[in-house]
Amino acid sequence: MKPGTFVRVATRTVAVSVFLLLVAGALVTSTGSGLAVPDWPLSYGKLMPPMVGGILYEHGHRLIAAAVATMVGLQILVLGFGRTDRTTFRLGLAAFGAILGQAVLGGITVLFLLPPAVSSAHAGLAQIVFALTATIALRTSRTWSRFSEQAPRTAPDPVALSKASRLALLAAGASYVQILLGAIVRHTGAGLAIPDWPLSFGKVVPTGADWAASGVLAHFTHRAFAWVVVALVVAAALALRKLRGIPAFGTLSTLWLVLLAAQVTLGATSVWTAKAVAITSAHLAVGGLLWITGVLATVLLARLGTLSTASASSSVPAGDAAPAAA
Amino acid sequence: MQSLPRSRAGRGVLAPLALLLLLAACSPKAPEAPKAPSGPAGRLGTSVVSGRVALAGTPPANDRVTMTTDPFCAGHNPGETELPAYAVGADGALANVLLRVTEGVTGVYAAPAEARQLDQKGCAYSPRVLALMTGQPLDIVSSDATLHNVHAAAKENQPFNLGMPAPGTRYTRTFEKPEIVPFKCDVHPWMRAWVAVVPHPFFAVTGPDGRYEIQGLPAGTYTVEAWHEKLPVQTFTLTVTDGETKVHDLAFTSPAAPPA
Repeated sequence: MKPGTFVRVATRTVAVSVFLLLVAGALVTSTGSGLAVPDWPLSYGKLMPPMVGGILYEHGHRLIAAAVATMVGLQILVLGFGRTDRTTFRLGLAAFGAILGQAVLGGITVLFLLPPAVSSAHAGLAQIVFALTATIALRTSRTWSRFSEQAPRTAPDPVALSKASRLALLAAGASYVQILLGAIVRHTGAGLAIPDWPLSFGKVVPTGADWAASGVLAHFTHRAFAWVVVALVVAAALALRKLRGIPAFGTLSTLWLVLLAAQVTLGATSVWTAKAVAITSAHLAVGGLLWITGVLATVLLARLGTLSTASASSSVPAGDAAPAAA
Repeated sequence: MQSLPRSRAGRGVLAPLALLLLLAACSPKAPEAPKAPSGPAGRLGTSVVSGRVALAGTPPANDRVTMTTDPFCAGHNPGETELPAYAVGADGALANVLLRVTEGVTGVYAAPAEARQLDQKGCAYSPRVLALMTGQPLDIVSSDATLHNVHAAAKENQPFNLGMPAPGTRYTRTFEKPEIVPFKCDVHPWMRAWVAVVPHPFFAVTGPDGRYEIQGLPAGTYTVEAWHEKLPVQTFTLTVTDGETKVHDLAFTSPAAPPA
């Protein structure tokens, strides 16, 4: 049964809200406002302190987080009453559990003065929440329904499908690892540990004493791993284009490459502008979109694989299927 | 090998246990009870080391900020405000340089009971550089009718982050280990201060005229360190005899390019 309009709009709204929450979190760290409110869960002992200076970002982030967590909770009811499939409902439960865990990590990191491990975990779990809500929005969308109808008719080349699935999974996984590396750079204050780009201290690889400076290892690892992400995303995007007959893949492939180019540009510009707030926040936001594109591509390819297998099984005469099963 | 039985109850215990471990792992070091200084008591002498600190060359341009994110701060600092990282006066006199003896002092010195004060006034710390002894109380006060937080990013001592929600708010803290503790307000990111914690009374901070004076040194040979928030540390060694006043001027080289 296809989800109704209300379910589609609600789940999409939740996913977009989670993205806006990510942007609000990026602004907190980019403006250095993470400790502008020293207490938690209240702010200066109040529900609503004056929104001045860094409090605007930190308390604003808390207010948005409270609203979005409520929305993610209500989404469970929408999914339950909207008669969505069991997997989507479970994803809704997981998203709610994850955002509650996210709130606890946010509180812990404030109370313990931003330990890099906890702050990085907070950043990493945020992207998991985004992935869960985006997947729910996809699974309840018209695109998903159309895709499920079209896919069995396209009979994709199994080799091309397998290759694209593998590459998309690797690209999404690498994007997530890169997000974690970026979080470590951000939360250890290593964003300008290497002051130039594309070279590092004027060299391809830092040498000797360069490594002794604080944050250089974390920064260079993030920078070097970016090229691994570039290679995997380009390969996965091109592999998607080889799966002809399904428009969603062409669009996704183009979007993926555009986001990749934007993300590399933003990374470089973050260094060139000495971490301008708008640029570093955009770098985090586009990084999230890049990761989500990988997640959605992986989910769609898995769906195509399942539907293709089911379609092939149903079209094979019972007698022919026996040797394969053996 | 027989595996251990896994029960729901067991799993139920694991989650809170993991959370506790996480909390324990990220919690700051537990505050240690102040230890009474041990060893022979340090002796005060009659020697003085004094001098003037200057910045040679063209002073670098200080950062400028507008404080429009907080109407109170903007009201006290209209337009652009220069942040006094390089507080350079007449003839290059450099203020806010900490001079402390780093070698040559023997014995244990008791901390004075009198507190030093760090104020938040007009959305700036006053003073910007402050020195006190280990165990000496630091009064942190706010004279501003706006919210501040005081975030002491100590590494050797217990770090803290305190809310200063109203004028008249006061906290008193002590530091038991020597270090230079950076202070910042995350509400107003331009607010910075440094509190130097020294294990003896032989230190000074230069004033607007760049002058300093370290009093009460016993006769001996000492290494003195000159620290500035932006400039490389300098050290010098000198010998003083009882009752002697030794003058030692020093100059930091400006990192700014000389005018063309």
